[in-house]
Amino acid sequence: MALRDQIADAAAAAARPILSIHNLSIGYQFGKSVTPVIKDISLEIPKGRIVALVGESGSGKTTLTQSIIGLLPANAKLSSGRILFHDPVKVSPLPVDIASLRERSETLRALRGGRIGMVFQEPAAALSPVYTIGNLLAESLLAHENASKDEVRARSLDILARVGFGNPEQALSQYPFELSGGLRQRAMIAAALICKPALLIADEPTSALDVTVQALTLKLIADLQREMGLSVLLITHDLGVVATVADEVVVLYRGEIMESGSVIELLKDPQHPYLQALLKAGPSMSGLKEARLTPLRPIAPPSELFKGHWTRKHEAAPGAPLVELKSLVKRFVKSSRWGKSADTATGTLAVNHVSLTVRQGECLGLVGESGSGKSTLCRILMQIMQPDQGETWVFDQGALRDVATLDRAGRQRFRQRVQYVFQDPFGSLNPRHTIRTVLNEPFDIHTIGTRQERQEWAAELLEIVGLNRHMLDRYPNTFSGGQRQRIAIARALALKPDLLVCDEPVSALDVSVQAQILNLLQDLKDTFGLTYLFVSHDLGVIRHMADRVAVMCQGRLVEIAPARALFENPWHPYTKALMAAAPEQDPTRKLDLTALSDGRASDPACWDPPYQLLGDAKPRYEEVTPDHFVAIA
Amino acid sequence: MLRYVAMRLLWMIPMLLFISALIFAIIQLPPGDYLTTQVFELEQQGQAGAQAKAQFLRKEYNLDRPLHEQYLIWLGLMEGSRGYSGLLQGDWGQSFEFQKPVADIVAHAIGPTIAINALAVLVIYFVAVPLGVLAAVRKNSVIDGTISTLIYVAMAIPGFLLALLLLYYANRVFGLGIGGLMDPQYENAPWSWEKLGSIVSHMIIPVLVIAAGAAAAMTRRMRANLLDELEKPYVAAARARGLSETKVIWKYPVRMAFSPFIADIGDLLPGLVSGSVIVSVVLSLPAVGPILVRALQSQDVYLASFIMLFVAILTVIGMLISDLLLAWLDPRIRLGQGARR
Repeated sequence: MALRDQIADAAAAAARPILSIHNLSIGYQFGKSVTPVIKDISLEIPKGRIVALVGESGSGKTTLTQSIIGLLPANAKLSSGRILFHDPVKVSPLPVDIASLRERSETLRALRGGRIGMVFQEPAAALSPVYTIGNLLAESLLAHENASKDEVRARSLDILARVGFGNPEQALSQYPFELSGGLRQRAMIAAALICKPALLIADEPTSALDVTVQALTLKLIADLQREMGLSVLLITHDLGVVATVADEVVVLYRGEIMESGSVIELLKDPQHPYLQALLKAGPSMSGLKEARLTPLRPIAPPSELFKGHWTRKHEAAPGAPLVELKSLVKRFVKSSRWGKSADTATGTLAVNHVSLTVRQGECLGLVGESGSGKSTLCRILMQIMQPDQGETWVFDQGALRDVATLDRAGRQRFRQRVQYVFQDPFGSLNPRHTIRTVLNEPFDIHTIGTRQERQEWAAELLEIVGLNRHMLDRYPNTFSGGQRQRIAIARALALKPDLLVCDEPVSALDVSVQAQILNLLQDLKDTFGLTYLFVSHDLGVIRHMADRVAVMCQGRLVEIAPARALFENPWHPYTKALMAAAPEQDPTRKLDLTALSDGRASDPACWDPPYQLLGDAKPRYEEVTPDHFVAIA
Repeated sequence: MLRYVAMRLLWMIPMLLFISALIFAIIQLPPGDYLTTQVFELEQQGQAGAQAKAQFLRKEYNLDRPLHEQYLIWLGLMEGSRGYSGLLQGDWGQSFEFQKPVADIVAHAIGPTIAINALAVLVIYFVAVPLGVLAAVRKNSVIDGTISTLIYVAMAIPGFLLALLLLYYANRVFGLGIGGLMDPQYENAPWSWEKLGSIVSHMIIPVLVIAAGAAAAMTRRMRANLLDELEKPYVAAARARGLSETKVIWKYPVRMAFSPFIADIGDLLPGLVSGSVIVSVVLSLPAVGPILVRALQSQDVYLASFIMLFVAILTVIGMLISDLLLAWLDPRIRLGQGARR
């Protein structure tokens, strides 16, 4: 072969995509029928690019990734198509057709982990708790290469340092549960990259992580991609994540590719209605605050007909305090094997002197990362957890009263007036109860109404949340996640509450469904004059919903202000970091990672004075502008 | 870790004291005692002086004392008719019925009991784990179906029936001896390889019979546990790292699915001892089970109490072993922070 041909060949090889999928179709077999999940898909992953695959749950993203590593579930049938993997390192110009290989074949096993690395969504679930990180890395390496003990150790240390472990030596002997969520995901990435693969598949790598950690992890993936010349297939449902790191994007909807192309073009000027809708459905961090989101499948606001019966005469005047939390403290004590540890100082302060007022008719947003004490605070408010110190006051019968001093009837009233909407609509509905039972239960417990009335009320509640009264006798498993969350909201409305505590009500849902639920909550608030304490880790959602926003970090309330003031002019370094870390759907606005200061943004000891708080120090609050308070030491 | 073991061992002392008191009290619960029956029988036969003899024996065995004193005397913490002489002094008491020290009666039964049950436990684990794994990995296949059928048969068939069947066929087909711990000619013979061989061949059937039911139940649970674990993301993640299927299965899900069975070691022993009574009778094995039943029937207090205490000690030790093994196998227990977020 002439030299010129060789050069031409090499150039062709360099231009060749790492992975090209041609006319792939996959179906799931249920009994005799086959449900198509992937319908005649073709796509390419070029060398050294990050390709994002976007789609809602059920769109076939997971099935597609499983087919690329040849690990489809037993009832999935690959009916046609080719999955060609062109290894850039291999001399052979012939690509491997993964679709034609048997699942257990040696060629495929060598590709998995060796040439194609994979990172999973939930690092806590994807790592076995009984093996150390060192074991994980050694195993990944030895599955594909012969290496001596020293070599394994050296490569492990090297990769751990590269994914950002401060002390790789120590990490080798640590177990996954000893690491934070972000470090766990880094360990997972290290294991996927230790064999220097050509392609990295990252399946929702950050959706289980906090925003600040998410931003750092995305940055890591982007950096590693550049350093190692990797190709990355990034699966996500978050267009913000796509805009942050991806070069190209492929939009998948019900097993078909709706649109694909470069990120900048596609997000700026989406052609396909699905992508247009998806972009509109997500609450944004910048620009004007939309009055209403545009879900893909909108639901009608509740009819005015229901207003009569379902509106409670609110006791507190609009804007007046409805619930006041006074200097709440809750410490979780680590229990040792010999009962509770006697030394209370060893516990963690989940809630550190938090005072908060919820005003009648407002939506108070509570934002913070996991472990910041949001849920603990809600539980104390709901009186399902006792604080160590502090009081909960409620406006009851004409005056603010301490809930602890209320008589039986008063507490009963409180329980009716404050209701909870849980995060996980799958866990919060008993799978063995019909929706009728679920919606009747509040009336049963508080012995309200006759049998007939309860039946009618249950039907009305369903209609209020936009479901059909014929669905009353169905079981929760026949509903989608969004529908279940609507049922959970209907249940919370049954006793005509004043205050709904919504604990991350949309974070388990897809963007399009999320828009539905947020609209519904807003409509309900307008129609029935409800008050919300709205907990979320998603600043976009908070910005969309809240009138006032409280920011929590490590058990402390760090900033509380009217929503507009907070988003336009945040004071606290933590609030600033949170905002910097929130990914935007606009690809021209890249993340500002300097504000995150390498993950130290959520450590009160690392904040600059006067914000710095050491140990369990209790903050003071400074009113910087009217109604805008910031925690300082 | 060392501190933990030491604390656990220390805790065993009050625990065993409590158990021993409970056992002693429960055995004494039915009205009357061993001598009441004896005296009644003697009087029926018209023997004079029966009452006097009974009075003497009552004193001899401390049966005239209140219950708590009898207990303390049994333990050796109080002076009885023969001075301080109880468990703590190594005197296990006297059996009424056999008119022999408990030690003599139990001594020849304890060895075989421990040997048979320990072997049964081993057989249970070595049979149940691989079968359960195989059934789960090959779910809904012919292999799975065959194993499931075997499980149902083994669980449903009564132990003594299985024992009789096996005895008959083992004797017909392999010429194994019937019943007992060894062939009769070795009973009083000195130790030799032949004698050991005879004992081993006699133990095969009891071990299999005692293990069958428990192994079947464990196979079923192993299969169910493993099926749950196989669905977990860490299994998919291990496959995606390119491990061979065998390594994936045994290193990851099996280890997780196995934990509950380690916790079972402690529970297994007392169940086996009491569950093997009928089998021991059918196979005429010198095990403690049948002796215990006899002792309980005749209210032979010291004999029964001792055997029950022996089983209790086995259980407590079994629990300790299982806890230590669990801590060793599962770092979340060892490092005590599994629930951290």
